[in-house]
Amino acid sequence: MPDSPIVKTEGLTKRFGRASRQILAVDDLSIEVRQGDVFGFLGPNGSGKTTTIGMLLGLIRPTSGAIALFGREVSQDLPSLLRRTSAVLENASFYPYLSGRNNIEVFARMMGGVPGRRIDEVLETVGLKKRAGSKAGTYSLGMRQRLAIAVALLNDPELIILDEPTTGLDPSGIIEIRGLIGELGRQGKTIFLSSHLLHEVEQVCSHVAILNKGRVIARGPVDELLHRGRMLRMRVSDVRAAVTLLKDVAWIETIETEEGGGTVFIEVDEERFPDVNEMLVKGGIRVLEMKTSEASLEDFFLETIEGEKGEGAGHV
Amino acid sequence: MFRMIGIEMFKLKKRWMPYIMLLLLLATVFIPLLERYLSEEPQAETLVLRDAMTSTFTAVPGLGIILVAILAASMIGAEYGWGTLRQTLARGTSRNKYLTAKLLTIAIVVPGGVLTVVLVGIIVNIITGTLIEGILDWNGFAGYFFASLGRTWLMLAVYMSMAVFFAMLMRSFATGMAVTVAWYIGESTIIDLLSIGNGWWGEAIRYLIGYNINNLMAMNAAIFFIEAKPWWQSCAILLTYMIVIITGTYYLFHRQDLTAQE
Repeated sequence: MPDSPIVKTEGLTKRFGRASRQILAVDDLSIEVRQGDVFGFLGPNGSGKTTTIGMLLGLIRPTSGAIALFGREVSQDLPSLLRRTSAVLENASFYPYLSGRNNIEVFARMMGGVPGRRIDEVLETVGLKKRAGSKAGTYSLGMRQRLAIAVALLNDPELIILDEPTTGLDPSGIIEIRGLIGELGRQGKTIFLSSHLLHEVEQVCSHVAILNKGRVIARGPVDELLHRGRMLRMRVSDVRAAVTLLKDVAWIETIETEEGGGTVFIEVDEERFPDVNEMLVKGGIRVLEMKTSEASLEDFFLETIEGEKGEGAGHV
Repeated sequence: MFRMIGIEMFKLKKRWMPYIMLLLLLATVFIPLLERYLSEEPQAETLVLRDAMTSTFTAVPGLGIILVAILAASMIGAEYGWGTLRQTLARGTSRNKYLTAKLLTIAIVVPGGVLTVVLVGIIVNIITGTLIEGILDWNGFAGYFFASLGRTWLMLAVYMSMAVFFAMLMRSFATGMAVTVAWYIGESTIIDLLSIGNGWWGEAIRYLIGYNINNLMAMNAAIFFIEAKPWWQSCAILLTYMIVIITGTYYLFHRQDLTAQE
């Protein structure tokens, strides 16, 4: 099934607890991640990201819904599907009494068929070769995170699931890991990246889904989502007249003004920019400056989450 | 499966705990021997090896039950605490395979440890017995040795499975160990209390784990009660408990959600 998604969930739902005190962690989640996507899975703390990853990896049983990896239902043969996958789980954990190298050896033996030189290669890749002999219990959070990434790279996986991979890393470590994710993406690996670092996701991801209170509230290619949030910024001679002229135009979605700045922001498709200009000039309004203001993923995320707060009150 | 057992053995080999436990068990063999042979007057002119081994076969399960509870609870519960269980299962190891590898590893290590201690006990008895008493009587030894070894393994296996069950249920080494040891001690107290009088409970306690452990322990010590159950009945009851506990462990482990907040 070459065209089937690498990750697909349909109506995935997870409730924790007994009937009287149930918590709905994930609510009717349907997502698709295609081969070669670097998929950003965004959401505030407690939105259900880690629970979803837990269900993808068979660690948490879904209450309802279906999960398919590589086009096959996980209920058919989860272990063999997971052998084509690697995961860096949140708060990477290892055997504290074993050295970093021994820890990697344990997981390499578990996977089978990992040559000894591969262990040195991954240690080199994550910059842990000098401390490989130290006990993992003495590692900082950042070092444990690097060790987890080293383990994830051992078996040359087709799908890599990363749950907050830069937690505990210093700025240079974050840049290194971001570079590594980008490199893996360029190699054609499919990456599922859960993160709350929006700048990081914007830089490396091709697609995103935004999760809030267990539900997907926005999804799509990053460019498309950002385009959706792109505004046309115009400095005009008469702001009030410009707003009056444009407010009833059907193809203009939003009009905003900047207090005292003589600037109007409108949300409109790019091909309509000349029409807007023409309308204003014909209406006797001088257009002093016209340019698009780029929305960042952070702006888009905050706007979407805020919008959801207004609409979604009462959701369990 | 062999690969997983190999990994479990590797992890165990790198820990201090099994070595400390082995030393403790060896101490239980050496201390009575030292007491005996350092006493000014030898107890007998001929050392009957069967009798000499009773102290070993009484001490080993006595302390062994607690040590096995610690080891088994640690092998399961610590993986929850460290978070390594999630890491392992996320790499495509099936839950069945994981749990079976753990149980088989314990089932190899514990009898291996017991056998080592018992063999050391025999060797030390033979050496010291020959040196001090001069004559060694092997009469009745082989039958007693194999029966006691089998009984010891069974006694330890029941508490091993119980420790695995509770550590898995509570997702904790400390709680799993504590509940198992508390069960072991608590049940003995209950049996002592209920054995006073002749009510229906007098019969009921005969089906408790502790009662049957005491029965087998008495056989190891070569103390035979007229009212005791036959050995095979005690073994059958303990085996039944073990099967139920292990089945329950597999069932619960399959249903368990392994969230990040363990």
